[in-house]
Amino acid sequence: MHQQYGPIVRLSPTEVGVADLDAFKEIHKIGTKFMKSDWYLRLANFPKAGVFTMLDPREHGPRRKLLSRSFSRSYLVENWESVVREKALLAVTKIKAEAMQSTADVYNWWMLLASDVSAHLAFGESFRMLETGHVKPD
Amino acid sequence: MQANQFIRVLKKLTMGAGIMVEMPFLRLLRFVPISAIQEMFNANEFILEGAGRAVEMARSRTGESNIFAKVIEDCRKEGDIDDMDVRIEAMNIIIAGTDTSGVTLTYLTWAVLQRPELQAALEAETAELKEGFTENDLIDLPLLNATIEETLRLYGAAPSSLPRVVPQGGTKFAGHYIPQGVTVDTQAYTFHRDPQIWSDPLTSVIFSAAVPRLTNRSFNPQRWISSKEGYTAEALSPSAKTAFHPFGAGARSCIGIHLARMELRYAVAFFFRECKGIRLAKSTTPESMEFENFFLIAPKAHRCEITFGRP
Repeated sequence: MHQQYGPIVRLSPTEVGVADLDAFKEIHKIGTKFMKSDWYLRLANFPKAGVFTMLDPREHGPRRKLLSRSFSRSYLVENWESVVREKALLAVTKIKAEAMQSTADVYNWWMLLASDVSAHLAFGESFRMLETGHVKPD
Repeated sequence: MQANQFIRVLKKLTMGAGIMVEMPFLRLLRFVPISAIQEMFNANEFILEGAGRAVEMARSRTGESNIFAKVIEDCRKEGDIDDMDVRIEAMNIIIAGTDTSGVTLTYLTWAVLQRPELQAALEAETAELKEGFTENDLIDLPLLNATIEETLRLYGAAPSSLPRVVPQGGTKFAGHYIPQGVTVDTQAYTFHRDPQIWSDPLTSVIFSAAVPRLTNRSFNPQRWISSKEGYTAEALSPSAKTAFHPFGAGARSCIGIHLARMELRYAVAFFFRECKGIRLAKSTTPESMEFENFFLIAPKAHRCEITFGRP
């Protein structure tokens, strides 16, 4: 689309597609005046806004700061690296065993790895999906 | 709560959310009395309930800790975050951390296994690691990291529009005036394939009569590697650095970027160390791996099979 019509394309009366690098910088720079649109509220339809959906930077800033510490590289390396390492190795072990038998579905295994890691961080306990293997259909 | 059921719902959640935004009329579907569909569209409520567990665990001193133990503790000192906030952020972590990393790893596997030379080089690089390697050792591997970055360029899991609202007074972009209140969309998909920034940027697969064969060099980790003689890699040019944003940009970029890179590095390193000579199965084709895009991408076939045996 941008190849045909150029870097700025009007998509609807209220929406414009932007593929210009300077414009991109302006829109997404730190301290930008371009706020997230309320599209995000519809994407994540939660009872309250969270760090992903808070539109107002005065609300978002403190929340982001609060969570940032737990996601900083140094904090992760100190507290979570061994968990991530262990689960990644387990996923690969499972893939290897299955691929030797017949075929291994890496989409399934990589998803299970990612969900076990995020669940362990978010809830403090893994879903242990990698141990269980496939997600059973209904 | 059954972990299995929980995961099944999660797998549908991003798709449900994406569909609801893109096609609002489909919201009606949530009233259709088919449990799978209801599960998909009511996933938020369901997960919120489960996320209460995050609060419980964080507050209990006996269980394993999660990241909110720290958050809640910090909050006692400075500011407030209630149980519902913790639930929502716990859900955010699950939603933002699952499909994204899972899909990126899947496309990395697919992209590399189509290129035996690259695969052999990665196997050689990771074979050199000592037994108890850490992420710091992995950061030093040029090809491993270049392959991850190149995957994020072409197959980053969130390449879609990031809608923002033009502020008061309007704006002027590339000579065009845009009034305030209008939504402007930028897409990583477009910037990551801009031929003015990336040489030979696109993936395209060309079929010969019998065997599908890749003839392009567009998935090219080498574009990330500077030479010792002082040649700066294309991907490290100022414009490429600005254009490349698989995790978004600015204050709203992905908070989990370091976790994601750690996960990707370990998974890729173990995979190519342990699974030498593994191949794509016959069922894995350019068609099966085509994007399905509901804000996040996924392979159309919802699987990507590999094998040590005959493909």
